[in-house]
Amino acid sequence: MTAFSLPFKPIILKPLALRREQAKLLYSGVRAVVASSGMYMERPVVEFLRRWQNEQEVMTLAVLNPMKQTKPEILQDTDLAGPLAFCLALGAFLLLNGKVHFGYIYGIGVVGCLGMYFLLNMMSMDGVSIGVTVSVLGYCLLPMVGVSGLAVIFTLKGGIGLVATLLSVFWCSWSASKLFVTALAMDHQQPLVAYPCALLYGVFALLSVF
Amino acid sequence: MYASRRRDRPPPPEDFAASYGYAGGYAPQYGAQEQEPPLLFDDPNNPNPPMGYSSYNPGGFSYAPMQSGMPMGNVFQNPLIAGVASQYGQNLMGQGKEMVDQHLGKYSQKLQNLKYYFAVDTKYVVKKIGLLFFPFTHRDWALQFSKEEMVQPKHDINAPDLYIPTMAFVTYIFLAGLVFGLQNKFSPEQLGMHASSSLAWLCLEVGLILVTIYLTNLSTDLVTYDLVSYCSYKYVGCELCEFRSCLEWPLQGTILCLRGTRDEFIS
Repeated sequence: MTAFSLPFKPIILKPLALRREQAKLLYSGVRAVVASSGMYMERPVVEFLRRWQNEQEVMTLAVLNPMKQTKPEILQDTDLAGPLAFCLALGAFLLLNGKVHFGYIYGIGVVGCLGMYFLLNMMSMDGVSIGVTVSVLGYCLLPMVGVSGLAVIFTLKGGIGLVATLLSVFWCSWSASKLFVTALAMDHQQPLVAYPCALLYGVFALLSVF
Repeated sequence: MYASRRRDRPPPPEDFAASYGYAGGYAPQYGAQEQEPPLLFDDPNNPNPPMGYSSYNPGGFSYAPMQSGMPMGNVFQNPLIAGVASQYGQNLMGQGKEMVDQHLGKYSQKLQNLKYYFAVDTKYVVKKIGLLFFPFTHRDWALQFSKEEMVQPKHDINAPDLYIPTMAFVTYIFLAGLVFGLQNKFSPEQLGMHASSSLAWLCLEVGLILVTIYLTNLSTDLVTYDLVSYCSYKYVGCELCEFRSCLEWPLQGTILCLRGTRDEFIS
């Protein structure tokens, strides 16, 4: 590598990051300064791109921000590590509340995911894979995990708990239905997809509250 | 700077030969010999290979098998065994997939039929639930047909569907759990028991109707899916009762408050 005399220090990215970088460029539309050998980027560009997240963070942010428009591409690489982590976190918070419900979380999760998979394949023109279903439903469990964490401090049977639980069920099902509808391009059916998600998260809420 | 996070480093080599020199997975601190591959057979040239850990005696078990030169570590790190195992696994998966496709092929037509019952949209669902609660002003109950086939539920409010029944069933179970919870009698296994028993009663009811149709030799266009659909519409009404039960405790609280204020101000 010849040394350029630049006012800032250039950052050399390893070739194995090429695919990730190309994906970032595709999504963010930023043109980088590419040298003939390897990828050579200006520091401000890299600092900008470093705020780009991996798949887990993208999905988590999509769940936490249901008002924002999501791109259908984020559902192309579905991963199951995030959902697994969230389910374990839910079980851990319930454990802090004195309830050992890991088996019920697993059972209800599996049955709920299979039911949603069946329903979505019946209702949509082009089907959805089980991986996408499990991934979306698992990621959208995050507000419920938050509420069960709240239950360590407040009791959920009071007024504030009721409001928080209802809000979280609504939030979870809204995010899940938004992601499903984005992925499957279903029209006029978002409330129909939101309702079974609300039922599933309502059952999780029953586990957390009672 | 350079990628320092684990996920940004290049992945470790996946070929087993590279990990071959790790002495079959034994931890180095047990004094494994330098780069000694695990042997699966007696080497005639070297019948007694040096075994640095044959003197290690965990828990007092006899280690006579270990002295024959067979490692008891992970045998799948041998590339031959790993190759054969993966090939076998792939064959099994291929065969399994073929069998599944073969058996499921005959169900694909039934699944297509089932898709008809889920072709609903929000407007249909709202109107149908309204019809279920207030059927008194509806005049035209006939099903519409187009080309000998029933019109999709999206376009005909009288057509049976299976979306509302499924959702009604699950909501019924969920609300039952909620009512139990409000009475401090909730346990998660109760949900499963309630769901199983409701499903059994539903199957019994649909089965009775089918048997009756058969015994009385009725000629009808009804199929089983239609019967399930019509028999499950009742859960929507059940939910109204459950919802009223949910309100029991707040309702009693409100009544007590009102009584209290009345007694205070009037008596």
